[in-house]
Amino acid sequence: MTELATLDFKRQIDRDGVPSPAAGIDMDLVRDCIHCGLCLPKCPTFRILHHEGDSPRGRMWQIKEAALGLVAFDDPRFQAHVYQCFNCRACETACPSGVQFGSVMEMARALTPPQNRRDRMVRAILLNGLLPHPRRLRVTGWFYRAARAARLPGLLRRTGAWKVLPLGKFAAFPPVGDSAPRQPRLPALTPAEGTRRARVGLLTGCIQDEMFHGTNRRTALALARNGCDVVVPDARLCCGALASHAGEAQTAERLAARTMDAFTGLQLDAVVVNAAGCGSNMKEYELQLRNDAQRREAGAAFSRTVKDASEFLVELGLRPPARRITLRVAYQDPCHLVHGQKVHQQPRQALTIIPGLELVEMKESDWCCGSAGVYNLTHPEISEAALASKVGHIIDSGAQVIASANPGCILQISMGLQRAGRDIPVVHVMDLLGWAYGDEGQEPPIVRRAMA
Amino acid sequence: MDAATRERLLGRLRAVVGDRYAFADPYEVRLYQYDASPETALPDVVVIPGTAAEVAQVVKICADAEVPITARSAASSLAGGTVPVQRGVVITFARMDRILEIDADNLRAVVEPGVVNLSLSQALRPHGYYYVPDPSSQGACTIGGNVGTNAGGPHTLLYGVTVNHVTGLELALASGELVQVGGRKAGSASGYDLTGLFVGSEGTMGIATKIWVKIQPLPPVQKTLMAVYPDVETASNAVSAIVRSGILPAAIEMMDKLSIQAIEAASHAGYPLDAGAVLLLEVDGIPELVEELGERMAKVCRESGASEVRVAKDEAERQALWKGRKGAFSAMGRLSPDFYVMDGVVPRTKLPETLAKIDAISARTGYKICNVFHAGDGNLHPLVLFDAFKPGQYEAVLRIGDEILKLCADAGGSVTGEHGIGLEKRENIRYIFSDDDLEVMDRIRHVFDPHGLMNPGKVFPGEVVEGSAPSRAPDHAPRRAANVAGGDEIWV
Repeated sequence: MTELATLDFKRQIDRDGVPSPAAGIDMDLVRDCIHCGLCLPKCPTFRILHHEGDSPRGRMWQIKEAALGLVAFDDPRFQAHVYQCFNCRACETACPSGVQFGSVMEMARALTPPQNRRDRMVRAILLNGLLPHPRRLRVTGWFYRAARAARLPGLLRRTGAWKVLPLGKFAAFPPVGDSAPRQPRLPALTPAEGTRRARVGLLTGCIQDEMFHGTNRRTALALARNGCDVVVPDARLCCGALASHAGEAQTAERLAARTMDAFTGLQLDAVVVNAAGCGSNMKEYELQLRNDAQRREAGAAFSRTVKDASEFLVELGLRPPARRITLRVAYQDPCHLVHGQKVHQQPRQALTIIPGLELVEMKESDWCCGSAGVYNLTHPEISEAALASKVGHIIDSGAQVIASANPGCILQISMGLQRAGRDIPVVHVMDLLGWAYGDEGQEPPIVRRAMA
Repeated sequence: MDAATRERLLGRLRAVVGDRYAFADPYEVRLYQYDASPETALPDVVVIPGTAAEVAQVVKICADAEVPITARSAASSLAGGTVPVQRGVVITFARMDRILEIDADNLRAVVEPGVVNLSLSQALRPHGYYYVPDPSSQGACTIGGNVGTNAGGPHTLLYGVTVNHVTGLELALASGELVQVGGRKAGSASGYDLTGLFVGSEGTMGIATKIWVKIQPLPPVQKTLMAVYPDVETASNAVSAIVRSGILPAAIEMMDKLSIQAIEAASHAGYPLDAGAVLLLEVDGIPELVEELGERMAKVCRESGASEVRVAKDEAERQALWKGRKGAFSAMGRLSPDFYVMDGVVPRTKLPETLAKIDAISARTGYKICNVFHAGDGNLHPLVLFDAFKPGQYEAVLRIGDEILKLCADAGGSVTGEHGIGLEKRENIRYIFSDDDLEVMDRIRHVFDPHGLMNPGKVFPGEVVEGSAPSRAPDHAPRRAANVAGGDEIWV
């Protein structure tokens, strides 16, 4: 093992001045951290791993050292701690200094090679090979839904094959979502019902539209019922969130540019997003497009028009739905909504406007479920530890249905609950709202009974 | 420590806690060189034990090998108390964060040292109880660390500091023994008050592995008032007026203009940005009493020059005001990349003149100094803002800190109220204690830690020699800790 250079930093500054930080890391953002430690009890990976290097403060310290050239970005220990982070940004909510941890982490990851083979594969296949390519995505989506229609998940469960197949657990325990191989696309314009109150764009997304097209339809319905013209751009778009959170900066930048261009010139009052990770990313396009001289400024302006679906509808003022849904529902805060976008109350308000729905709170609803973008693929063990405590809190809450607002969380928690043998469906807030507004289809039995 | 010794030590420690929880990789141990102060020093080995028995074994192994031991859990010390200045082994309590027992009817709880202060109160809330001492960092700091520093907090004005709320301790001593001092419940102590001796000893005599604390029923009503003043002097005089009026509120906190700006930017709690100073006051008790006290206090505030007195209209607003106050130090990160915080105490009546003198120091040196502090106790927290990347600033700030603490001591106060002496204030302790006073304290430490291995280089003045145990008798050379384990970087 190589000994690291030890430096008397004070003496070094006196002699040589402050070393110039690595290009690509904004040292002012790094130095916002005063290492007070207030973030530690809120960090899920610190709670699981107990190591300072896996705490937000420890990670900021390491990034600072790497930026100053004291450790190498490709040092395996640096890589391990940087990629062991969920990037859930709970530390940002806890931080009184206003450290923009998520942004700093993304900058650091962009300079840090992936840690292991599994991680490199996820990047090559999913982040760079599939999501940015609409046609490949559509074909994969067709196979996914065809497999569900052919009842492959049941077969995997019965035979136990899911335990040995790669991604077996995700295939065997699918969420409430689409299972018709062929599915229509949302119309380019869904006209407002009643008095027109706004004209909005809707991001249908990549994974969201292939696995949760029904949720997109219900989001459009909820918007239309509340007086919005809903515009869906022609291009199939991935906003680049998964790529940016994993540090694939070039892919993220390209997708950000494409997404922003697709919504430009449509005379929109807002761009509505129903996936928390995407919304959070699109609200930070200024950062994603920092190296794109043409679009950088427009990115900041565009970001200001981006709204989460609940956030937008509650601000607009929700019209009460007619249908009752007599259910006990707990809301799981997606990290990129509660910590990334500071949207906490609005999804709860959107749920409680549904007649008959009783909202209960689970413990630690704002703790990461371990999905964390592609984290459950790259770091399954730590991800499972976070999921286990999430499942426990859900069971303790006594909720009949879990509502959330991000495809990754919905997939992860749904898989966890099914494996624990619990019939507690996990759906999107917009699903429940859409069903209450009269959408038909995909209701889990317990929801259908609750609407009778 | 040479590589062979380190490997041998590591092997023995791993046999106790497992491979995963003891490590000496130079990259990993670098992450245990800092706390919330600007001080740093590298340890040789880090251990993360899971039980009290493991702690006792770890301490025994270190003591046998004559290796220094520094305990830490949240490492939120503002005085360098958890910086392993003589290298050796850092024991961290990240895994020992269990609440072992809540016995509400008998007003007590038993916790491991790594339990976060606020988590204890949150766990007690459903029972209708809470743990009173509430340091501003209570969201992160642990009961073990609170015991080490005899931590305070805003509400200690009326209810007392940590030592008033801890009834007993289980301690791992350098001898390898695991002993109990004090009683397991309030009022049961007999013999010497060893709990009182250990609370505030900053880990220099032993390491707490289990803590018996007193808990208290939640007050039926709490009311928080914010009084707005044109300047710090008027607000300081108001504090004395409040106390003279015969009312002792649960808390009286003061924030000056610069602090208010940082706090408001972080919390959006509604602090007035144009105020020269604000006082945050809290009364609690049964509704009738709180109503009466609140009105009387508002009257005193107005008569003592407050331009406005606001009462938090609901629990959410009350929480927001306190969250702002408690996040104040960290919020300074918004004003400046680095700060150096003092923890001086002055008699309440000396507040106006002390604050004026601090202001003069700021004007003379050109360094901004914020004040946010426990006004009711006269416990000042001047924060000197600086930039560690600018050569010479850190040294200049240390000199300013020294000057301020001298000022406090000369006013009849002390150099620390609640953060501990740690590494930073070791030389300043001379402003309040004579050589003989210190010698007596050191003799007591010697009883429990004959070889000076427990958190060495802290509390007592004297030079730090890297990698060697300190001489038992403190070296009384009048100099500040200029040498922080050479070879380690100092920046924040």
